[in-house]
Amino acid sequence: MGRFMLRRLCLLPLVVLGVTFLLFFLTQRLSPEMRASLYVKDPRQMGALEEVIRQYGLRDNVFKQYGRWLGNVVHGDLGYSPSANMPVAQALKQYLPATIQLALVTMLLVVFFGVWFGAASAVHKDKWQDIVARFISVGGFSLPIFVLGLILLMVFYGKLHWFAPGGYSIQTDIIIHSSAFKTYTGFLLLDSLLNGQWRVFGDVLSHLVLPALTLCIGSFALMVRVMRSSMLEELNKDYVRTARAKGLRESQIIYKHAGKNAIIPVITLAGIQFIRLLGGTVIVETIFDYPGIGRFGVLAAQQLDIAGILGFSLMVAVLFVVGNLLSDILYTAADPRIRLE
Amino acid sequence: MTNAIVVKQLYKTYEHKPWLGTKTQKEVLQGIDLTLPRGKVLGLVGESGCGKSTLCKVILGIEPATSGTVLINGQNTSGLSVRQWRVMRRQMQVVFQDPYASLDPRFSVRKLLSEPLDIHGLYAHKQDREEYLRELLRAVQLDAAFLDRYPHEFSGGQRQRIAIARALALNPQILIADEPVSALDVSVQAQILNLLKEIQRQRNLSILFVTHDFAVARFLCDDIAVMQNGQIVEYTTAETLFEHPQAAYTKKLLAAVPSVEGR
Amino acid sequence: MNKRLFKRIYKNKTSLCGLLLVTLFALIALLAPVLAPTQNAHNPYQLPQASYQIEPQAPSTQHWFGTTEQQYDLYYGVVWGTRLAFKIGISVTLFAFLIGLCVGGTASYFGGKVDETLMRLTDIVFAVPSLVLAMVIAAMLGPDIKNMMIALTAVAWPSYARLVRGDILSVKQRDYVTAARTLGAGGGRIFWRHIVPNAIYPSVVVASLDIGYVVLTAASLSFLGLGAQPGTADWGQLIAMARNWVLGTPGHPLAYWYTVVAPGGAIFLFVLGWNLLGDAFRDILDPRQG
Repeated sequence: MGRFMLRRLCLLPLVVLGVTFLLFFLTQRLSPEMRASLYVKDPRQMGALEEVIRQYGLRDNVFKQYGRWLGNVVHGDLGYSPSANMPVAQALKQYLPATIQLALVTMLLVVFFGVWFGAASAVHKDKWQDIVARFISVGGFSLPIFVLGLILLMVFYGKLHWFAPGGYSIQTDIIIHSSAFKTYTGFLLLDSLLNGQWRVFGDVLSHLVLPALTLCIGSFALMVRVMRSSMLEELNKDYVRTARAKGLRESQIIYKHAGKNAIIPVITLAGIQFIRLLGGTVIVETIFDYPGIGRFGVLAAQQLDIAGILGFSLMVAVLFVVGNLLSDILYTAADPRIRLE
Repeated sequence: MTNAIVVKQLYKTYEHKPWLGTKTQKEVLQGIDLTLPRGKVLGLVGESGCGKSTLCKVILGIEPATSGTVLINGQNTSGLSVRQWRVMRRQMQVVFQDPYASLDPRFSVRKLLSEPLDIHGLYAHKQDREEYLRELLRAVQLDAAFLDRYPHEFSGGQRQRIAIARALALNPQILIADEPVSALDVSVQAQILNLLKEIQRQRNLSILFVTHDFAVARFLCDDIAVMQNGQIVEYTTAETLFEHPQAAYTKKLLAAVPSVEGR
Repeated sequence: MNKRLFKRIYKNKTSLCGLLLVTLFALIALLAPVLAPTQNAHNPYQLPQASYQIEPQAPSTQHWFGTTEQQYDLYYGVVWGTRLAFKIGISVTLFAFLIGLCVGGTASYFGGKVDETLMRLTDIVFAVPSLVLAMVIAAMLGPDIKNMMIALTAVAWPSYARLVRGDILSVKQRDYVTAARTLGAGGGRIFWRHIVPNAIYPSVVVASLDIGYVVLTAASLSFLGLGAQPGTADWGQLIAMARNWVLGTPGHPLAYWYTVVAPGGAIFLFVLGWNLLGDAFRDILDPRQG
């Protein structure tokens, strides 16, 4: 098991290199002028691209160019992103916390509602609660998040004026960019609390509601299923029957005994799903104009901003690969019966 | 007269070499000596995991031996070319334990029985082929109408008959039976054993019969070798073994067997 | 097997719903020229435009589902979008499966270093969420339907390669393969006659059920502007056009609901159909169910 993890750890950088090389190879289809943006550090340089092309040898073979790009990445230089109008490294640093924040809030929603619906569905098997929960879990898998997102936007913002799109309101923007507001972590939810700005905290949270609700749909459906079957399994076990025979109250049996055991697979699944959410953030952040790396990636892709695309892909690959490794470890740690290889 | 199978000082070691770390070794066969005389039945008895099946695979040339020799009809099998092995197959065939696994589910009985003939280019003429296939089914006491059915339509016993028919298709002199009845119901076991005994007598087959069941071995075998942890611990005629078992392991196994009459 | 399959599907109400939905969409796709006659024989996937007025128009007798931005007819878009969805779903799944079959087959046949190398190659594609990777590839190739299909194929094949490889490796272990060897069959004969036909069947079923997922991803790409271009009868693209109108007009916040609901409903039901059908198939293929 330890050896298996070690092997995974060794393969990890190889996989990330593989992804970036593949994408880098694809960029070679584009003109050297477009690729020159990778090496520009200042928007003013954009005028003299021919010089940049010559300086960085953008007409060299792929491997040489990739080596140079990698060298720059090691030094923290990911190029300049015209779509975000700032260096890629800075953009990633600025947008990543917002995305992680979104994913965390989503995960909380998923676990909370997933456990609730799943448990209710199992306890009231084949009653209306169960039918509703199963209907949601089947439908949730099939409802595209961009359709759900637009409908939520239409109803909650368009009709009820409740939750505005974007990452925060103009008032918040003024506060967080003032000198009095100190950035500790980059996570606005945390920083606003540390600064004692309750109003900012509430504002940021309210902007998270719709994106998080939209993003949670797919994982939520899965969670309901897992919780339901896990709970059903627990309720059929001997100790539940013993507890019933002892005359414990039904609610006590359900919540104190069966629920506690049934929740274990849900928690491990949550760890894995957290990583899967990354794909969905791309669409959700675009719909709600939420300033995370998903929206950054989409804008870069739409405008063929190569530096942005490569930086974004590198970031996602690293997050995804490391996250998968961690969730595998979590999975094995949580269930000793599973031994990898 | 040469013996059907002679195994001399056969060793088989499995090596597991992981990507990282040190390699581990497992010695499955440790110096096996066996002789199967022509026209006889040699029983190979042992508990599961003792190396019986590995021994069969080595004799069949599916797995290479680490060291030692296997002679089949006097011919050394190590160093045979693929082509020479193919010729050898016509002299030696096998029946596997699980008749549910050993027949390709997508093949009809006709196709199953034709395959060995196709491979070796036998009975190419359509009418000869048809005649021969019917004869094969008759030999295992199955209806010729079964030719166009598929394995999943048959019971375990019927499937094992089909597997036996396939093994007989090349008209081999040697048959290796790797626990051919242990996956079957007890009542069906007896039928298959009777069938094997009859076929053995009719065709003067030499059979290496692998089993974990002494009662089954006693019914069919002339000689018996008892195997434990990759070694032969006792090797004698069936009669002697059941009358005067020598090795402690044999005694232990025999004590655990319900009496033959009780079956 | 097939008889049993249909019996199971028929018995289970939800999977029957799935089968009906998929069949309904297949009929719509086949009958598209009858249901929504086209004036543009060269490119029927080009949406007809009633006028160049910007504002969407509500459903009427002339436009059953209404019109979206720039008077593109939504009914026409939903009907021909179904045909396009099948076209994209089937061809992407088919090509990805063929590539996966070749790669997985090669890896499992040769084993050793070849296997290791090819499997690490699939790891690379698995290292990024498929939507993100498809998005990036589609962007670099240039946004149109053909490139989008290439991008989707590029991200889909590794899972089939793994699937096929795993199935082949497990079939390789079975007794009937060993039996064929002891009959004297050569490597090629065993591989093509015994291993591939037995390994491929479950993989084909699993792959074909991915059509719903492929269409969903394709719609996501079009929605992001990295697939079908404006004016194409493509569900994702129609929803992208609806984005500008979700907030309605002052006083009538839900005024343009049909621009989202018509294409959104189509894609939801399509994916739902495949998912319901998929659940039934996966239950049946599960070896534990016997």
